[in-house]
Order: sequence, then C-alpha cells, then structure tokens
Amino acid sequence: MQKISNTEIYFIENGINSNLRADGRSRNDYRHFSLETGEIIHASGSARLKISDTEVLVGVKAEIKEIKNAQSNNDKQQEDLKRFIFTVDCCQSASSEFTEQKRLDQYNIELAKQLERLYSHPSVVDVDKYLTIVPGKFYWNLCIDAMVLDSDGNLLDALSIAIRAALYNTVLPKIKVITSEYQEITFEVSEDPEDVISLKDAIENVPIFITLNQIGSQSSFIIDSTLQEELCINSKLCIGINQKSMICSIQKSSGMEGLEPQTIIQMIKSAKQIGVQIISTMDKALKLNP
Amino acid sequence: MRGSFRLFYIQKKKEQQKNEQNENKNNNNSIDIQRNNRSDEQFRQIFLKSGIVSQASGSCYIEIEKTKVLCSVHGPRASHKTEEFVAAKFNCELKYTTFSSSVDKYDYTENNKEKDQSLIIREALIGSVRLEKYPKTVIDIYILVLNDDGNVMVASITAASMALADAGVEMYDMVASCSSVCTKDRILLDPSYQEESLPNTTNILVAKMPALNQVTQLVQSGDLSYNTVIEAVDLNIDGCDKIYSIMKQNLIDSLEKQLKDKDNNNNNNNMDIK
Amino acid sequence: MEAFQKIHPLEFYRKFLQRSVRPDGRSLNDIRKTSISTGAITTACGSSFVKIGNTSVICGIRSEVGIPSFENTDQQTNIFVNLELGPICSNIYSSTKPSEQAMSLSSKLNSLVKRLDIPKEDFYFDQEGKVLWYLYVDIYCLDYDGNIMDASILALISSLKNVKLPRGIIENTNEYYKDTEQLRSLQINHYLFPLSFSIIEDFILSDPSNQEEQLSTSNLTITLNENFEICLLSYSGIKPISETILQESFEKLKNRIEYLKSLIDSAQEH
Repeated sequence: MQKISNTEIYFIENGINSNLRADGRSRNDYRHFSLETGEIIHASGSARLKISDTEVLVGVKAEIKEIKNAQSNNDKQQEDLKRFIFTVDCCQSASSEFTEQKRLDQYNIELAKQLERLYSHPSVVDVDKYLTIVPGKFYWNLCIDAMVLDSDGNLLDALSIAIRAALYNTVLPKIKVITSEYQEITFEVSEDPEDVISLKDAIENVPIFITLNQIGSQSSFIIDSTLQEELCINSKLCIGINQKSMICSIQKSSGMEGLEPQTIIQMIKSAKQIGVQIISTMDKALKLNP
Repeated sequence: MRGSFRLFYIQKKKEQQKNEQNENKNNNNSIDIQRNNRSDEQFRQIFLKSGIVSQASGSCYIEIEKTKVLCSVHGPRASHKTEEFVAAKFNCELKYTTFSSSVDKYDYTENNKEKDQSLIIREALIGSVRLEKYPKTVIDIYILVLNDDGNVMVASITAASMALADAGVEMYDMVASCSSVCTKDRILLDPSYQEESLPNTTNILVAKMPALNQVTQLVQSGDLSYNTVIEAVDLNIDGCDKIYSIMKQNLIDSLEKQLKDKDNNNNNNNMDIK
Repeated sequence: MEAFQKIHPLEFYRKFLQRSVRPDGRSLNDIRKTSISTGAITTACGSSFVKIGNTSVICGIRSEVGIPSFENTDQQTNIFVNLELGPICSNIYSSTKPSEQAMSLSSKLNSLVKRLDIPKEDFYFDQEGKVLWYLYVDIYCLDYDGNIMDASILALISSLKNVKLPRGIIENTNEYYKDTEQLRSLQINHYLFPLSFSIIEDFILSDPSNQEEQLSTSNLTITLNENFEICLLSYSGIKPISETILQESFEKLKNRIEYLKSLIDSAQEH
C-alpha cells in the first residue's frame, strides 16, 4: 500500500486551501483527457479514456437474455431486471496500491457496485425502447467490462465517462423474431453488417460520476484528484449527473470523517456545473468523430 | 411442493381495474398518495428501548410504528486475526427475517440488498466511533429487521448508534438519520413501505452527527433536480435533529434507570450483610 | 464474588445448590417469568413473541401457495419449522455457519408439528385441495439465556394458533388471488406444553439459564399435550438418569400445564 508522509500531506492540504494544486490546477479544474472509441473490434462497443496517467479501457458485449420463469422468487427477479452487468478489473501493474490481491478484488467489486447502482434506476436507459427483443421474454443484456490499465487517481469518474462513451459507440445487430409452430422462438440475425441499431440516442440520460474529495479545511474540496491527493482525503462524495443536470445518485463513501451540511450543498452545486460541462463537451466530441 | 406461485391481492386487482377505468376517462395518471393522520413532514411514533439483549455488550430495539428492528453490539472483543493493530475492526451486518415483508422474500443467507444496506450503515456509523481507542479488537454490529414497514435504514442506524452507546463504546457523537421519498412535487419524510415502493420516486437518506454538525452518510438513488435535492437534504438534516433529541432523551432515561437499579442492588446487598 | 463466579463457576454453583437455591434467587424448581404475546408482526400471517426470563424468541409464519406432488400424500407436511440462532442473540453464534444446535432443535420442532393433528382440509387453497397453502414457520432467537427449547415450542404453538389465512381465489386457472377480508384460522386439536431440565451433579434444575446449561452434565426436555400424552421426550447427557427423576419431572410439568394453557389462550385474546 502506498504511504504518504506528514509533510507531503501538509504541502497538499495547504496548496488546496489556497486553491493551487501541485500540478498548477485550481480546485475545480479537470485534467485534460482524451477519449477514443471503437478500439476493440470484436466488442459491440468500446472506448479508451486517458486522463493524465489514468487510463481505462471499456468493452461492451451484448448478449441475449431469456427470462424463463416470471414466477420465480423475488431475488431472481431483481437479477432478471438487470440489463447492465459490470465487471471492473484493475491491473496489478496499474498502481502500487493494487499489489495485494485481496484488497484489489474488494476494490474491483466496490467500483462495479457503484457503477451498477448508478445504472440501476429505470430512467437511465429506456429499456423498452432500446433493449427489448420480445417484451417479457427476451432482452439485450449489456456486459460492460472495464479495465484499468494505469492509475493516477479519479478512477470512478474515468470509468463512468469511458462507459458512457462505449455505450455511445455500441451497436446491436438487428434481429428478426421468428415464432415456429410449437411456440418456439428463434432469431434471425441480419446478415448485412451495416444493418444495425446504434445506442447513440439511448445514452441521452446516462449519467456520469463526479467525485468530490474533501481535503484540508472543512469547506475545501477538489475534483479529479491525483493519486497523491487521494491519500489525504478526509471524505468524498460521489455524485451522478446527467445531461439535463439532474442528480441521479449521491453516495458518500470511504471516509472516516463527516461533512458539514453547507459543504455538501456547495459540493452538489459544483458537481452539477462541472458534470454538465463535461457531458456536453464529450457529446460534441463524440458527434464530430463517429 | 413444486415451486410456489405469486399471489396477488384481490382488493388490489379490483382497485387496478377501477383505476384503469378512471384513466380511460381522464388521462390523469399522477401518483397521489394520501397520508391519513400525519403531514408530509411528520414522523411516526418512535419507541426506543436499549439494553434488552442480555447476552450482548449493548443492544437496542426500535419501533417506528410497524417497522421493528433489533440491534445488538458485540465487542470490543479480541480479534481472531491479527490483521489490524492500530484501530478496532468495525463490522456491520443487517439481516431481514424471512417474514419481515409480505412482498419481498428473504432467505437465510445474505442477499445483495442486505449487503448494500449493511455497507451504507457501516459507512454512516464508522466516523462516529473512536476506533483508535480499541486496538487489536473487533466491534460487531448485528441488526435484525423483524417487520418492514418502510424507513428500515433510519431505524437500523438509530438502533445501531443507541446500541453502541449502550455498549459503552467511545464515540464522538451519536449518529441520527432521516430518510425521505421524493415524488414529483412532494417530499415525504419517514416514508412507509407503501410510499417507498411507489414507482418513479427517489429515496434520500441522510445520517448526521448533530453535535459536530457533520453529515456522515448521504445516499440518493434516482433522478432529481438540483433544487429538489437541496430542499430534500435540508429537510432530512432537520429531521435528523428531531430524531437526535429523541435518542438523547432516551439515552439519559435509560442511564438514570440503570443507576437507580444499581443503587437498589447495592442497598439490597448491604441489607444481606447486616 | 463476581470473580469467584467467573473463575470457579461450578464451585460457585455448588455452594448455592447445596442450600437449594440458585444464584438468581430461584429455588431449584422455580421457572422464570414467562410471557407470550401474539400478532406483533403485521407482515406475517401469524406471529408470536415468547419471553422466559431473559430468553426471548420471535416467531413469524410466512404462507405460500403451491401444488402438492402426488406421491405419498399422507406423509407430506404443510408446515416447515426452522430455528435461527444468529449472532444477534449471543456472541457464541456466528452468521457465516449455521449452528448445529439450531439444526437439531429445528428437526425436533418439525416432528412436534405432526403431533398437533391439524386437519388436511385447513390447508386447502381452493375447494378440492388441488392447490395447498404451505406455511413456513421461522423462529428467531433474539436473546439467548438458556432454555431455548421451551421458548421455541411455546412460540410455535402460539403462532400457529395466531395464523389467519386469507381466502384463496383462482381465476383463469393460473391467476391466484387472496382475499384478505375473509380470514380463517387453523383448527389445532392439541396443545404442546414443554419443560426442560438441566442436571448439575445430583441437582435437577427446572428451566435452566445459559450458564446452568453450560455447567450441566445432562439435559432433559419433556413435552406433553393436554391429555398428558408424551409428544417429545429427549434426554442427552453423559450419565443415565433414574426412573424416579423422570417421574418427578413429569409431575413438575403436570403441575405447570394449567398455567401454560392459560398463558397460551390469553395470548390469543389480545
């Protein structure tokens, strides 16, 4: 596990208190990031995001899911309702933080859980419109595999942005449903590779995470933290924002300390502004380079 | 038995049919829920009793009308593993009884919902406990939901915090919490099960240490505009203060009672010696 | 005194027992204060809460509907009992592995259900009995201070007496509805009256507490119905017991039956 000395903490905290961070950014500045889509040819959709040294690669695989018995027990039903399945895999080489396998596993699960929670609300993607093949029977399931190749902090935000881009890039083959005489349903996949459905419009409401880290004095918080800064976090708030500047999810996580109510309100406010900005820049860029 | 069927209430079916007829008449399908005997911001009656499990270090039983939750704390006790030396390990486990809900089914094993909620509760409480005071130990919190009529998280956090106090674990402050359901234009504090399971609503949970004025947990799931979020968070924070005063009063009362009992015991012992 | 109790618990007890009194002030035959209440759990179709001294259990019944399989229908039961001894009730139990004690007690409770002699027709969902109600009785121990057996049996019988099943309606052959405005209860033909004993050296202690159970060399549980017939008799221990001890124990339970009956009955009224 990475350790940080008290003097370093002092340096970072004081820098943040006076609104100047080690790399020259102010508290609310995001690092430059680059986004590429369609990197993995065999995936239904993919994206690679680089923020400074943080690099994540996301692949989307579409599967047909059959819902067999509508009268099974409740837990299974919830399982059936999940259209997005997340797996996050942080490469051990990505950070010295990840050397311990047990901690790494736990961290992977935690990230996947948080993403899953963000996508769990029915308003995120119109399932009926985009992911239904036969209502009540056959659906598209999207397996979203994310790899963290290199880490310099702010993983959750990076993952959520990359996933949004990968979904934008995702195409599903057109499917013809054929019902045979014994009520058996078979599919015919269209042979024309151009004849596909794009999820471009479906991601309109898909949110991204903005993580706000409180460091130093109670009222100072930063976004897009580096690995160094993440070592002196007191508490953090992950906020999900979508294009319409709606707040889709909030969760306070991993922090021993509490936050003052005024700080929280400030945090939500800046998350809203920054989130909308990032999404609109991102959408513009994606539209220009399909 | 070969599998079981889903059962529906005949009353609900009739209601549904009626609603469908109404909808055909006027396309007005806004969710409307009437609270019979309380306003949107009013809490239900809360009953708290701590120290009821004789075998635990600390325990608390809470009733928010029909919602019933029992919590017991074991520890600080010696850790089996020597993993952490500096501070106590803090575990939290929430379990629903199989009969706690007439709609959701729970098994004897922990399901995803229970795991999620356990984590949220742990996160809410961990900031309040002075773990560094108890090196090489474990503090285990076990929560059992006996009857779920909404607002289980608030009941659990409240009970757990009271149980920690009952166990005599050193804390900065007790954690009070409050949750609400936001519909299109209303914010309902202390929601019942029926209100929690309405479609297209958002749940917000706030946990707070009032004496330090610090929010230890904030969870929201679902879409809300900025203004509504702020309003709801504010309302919940006020709600936390109300719950806190109930908790504090209860803690003082139970301590006074304990002291009285102790006095009585001492007197009795003295008489025995005479 | 407390130190003595912790270091030499057996010696500590012996000093008390020789004077025919227990450390909590009870005589050897005294039974802790017992109380039963029913109907506390609104989400269950029947429930009860039993407290014997500090020991408390809560019991809830969940109802499900299913089609019975047609093989040997006589032996099928419609009631499944399970006892949970979780970490909430005592620090000796863990949540990861189910305790063996709970499993063995559960199987005893399951065999006791058959003694209740509930008519088959009571489980019919429809008129003919093609679809049946199945009841899952779950007993959760909330506080474990010994004598969980008596508490569980009392909880089982009281909650079964508290069961209110809604009227079943089947529409279009596979749509199942329940009408909660028309409720009926089960016809239970027998009572169950339990009493447990722990034997420490030569002393027989009724209604043992947790510590007494741990010190005991053997344990005895008797369950009778209202006709003084034996429903369950279980003895486990390292030494055999004489017939006179058994006889005495029966007498003790017989003296208590009237009281237990009134407890179970009055719990239903509230």
